Amino acid sequence: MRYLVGIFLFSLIQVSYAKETLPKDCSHLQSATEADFVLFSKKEFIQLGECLAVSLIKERTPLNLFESCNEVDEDRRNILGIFSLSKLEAILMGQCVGAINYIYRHYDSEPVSEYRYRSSQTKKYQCIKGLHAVDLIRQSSSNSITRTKLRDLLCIKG
Amino acid sequence: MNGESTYKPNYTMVDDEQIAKPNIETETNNQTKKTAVPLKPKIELVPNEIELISSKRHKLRLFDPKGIYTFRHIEVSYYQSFLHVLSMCVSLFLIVSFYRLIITDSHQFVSGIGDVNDLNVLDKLSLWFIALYSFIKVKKAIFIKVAKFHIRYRLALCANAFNLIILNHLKLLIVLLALNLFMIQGYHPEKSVNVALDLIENGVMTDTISIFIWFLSIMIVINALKYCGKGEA
Repeated sequence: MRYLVGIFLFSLIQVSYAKETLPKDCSHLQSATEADFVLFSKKEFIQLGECLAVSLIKERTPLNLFESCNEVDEDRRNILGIFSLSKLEAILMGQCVGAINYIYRHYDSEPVSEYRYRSSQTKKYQCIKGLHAVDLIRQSSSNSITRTKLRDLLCIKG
Repeated sequence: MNGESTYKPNYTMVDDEQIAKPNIETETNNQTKKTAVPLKPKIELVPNEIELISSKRHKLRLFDPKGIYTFRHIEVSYYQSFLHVLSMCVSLFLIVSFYRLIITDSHQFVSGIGDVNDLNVLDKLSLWFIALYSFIKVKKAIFIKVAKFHIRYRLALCANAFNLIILNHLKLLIVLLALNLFMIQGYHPEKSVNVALDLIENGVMTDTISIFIWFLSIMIVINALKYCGKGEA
């Protein structure tokens, strides 16, 4: 009887979750997906988020950066620090930072390759990064943002 | 000089003995009085007060572990025991489903990884503390012996503790909901309630308040299970 009750409770608590395979670029971070305690592996989670964001941007799938960058802002203003940080929040923070850094590395001081600027080769992208970029994304408040939109948001042609 | 110094401890020794002897006697007296004859109350009870106490003796208690503990010498009737079992089933179901809701609801989908846990360190520590503490306390309560009817007493104690946990959490939820509504009025008055609640739940404010909420929650559990280890007499 006791075991029956135990099995019943266990079946209630046990929940199955869908698992997705990591993108190939991030396969070296497989161990971070299995860890569950933020206290010891915050850095790995943030790295995982950065890697995910970069691979998603490369695939040109839209990202929900508004939510991610809100987490960065939340982490900055939080009193409890790491005690109120979850695995999800750490990964989302990594996504925000990773996306901004990728756009900066990829486009900053690169010549604009659009058709109408081709005649004058002087136009270059000037991109921003850091907290200013985080605030810009948060102000845009669009739920899914693609690579080109993100570039137009963070970079100025000049 | 030597003689003087040796006298002093002698005096104190004598004093100690003089004080100690009557103490032991009074203690033994007290013990015998407690077990055999109740002490005469200093305040005389009016008949109304005695009526009140006697009416409290056989009252049905559902949210009152302290009452169950103080009246532990009085037999719990089978009818009351039946109600205790029913209410305990309801509140246990609520507790288990609430725990399940916390665990399942906190998972969010991230493309590339799958579902990711959104419980933070504080949540996890508090959940584990509550689970372990209540498990230990209930285990203690199961092995307690009071009188001939200890099974009914144990049932009554556990049922009252769980019911009190549920009742106090309901009160806490109502207060938090009121607080949330005030915050919606203050911060996002133009948005719909669902969106605003989502925004508030994911904000800095909630993370900061969460430590107080967990503290209150733990205090509720400790307060309700306080009498679970006691009761031997």
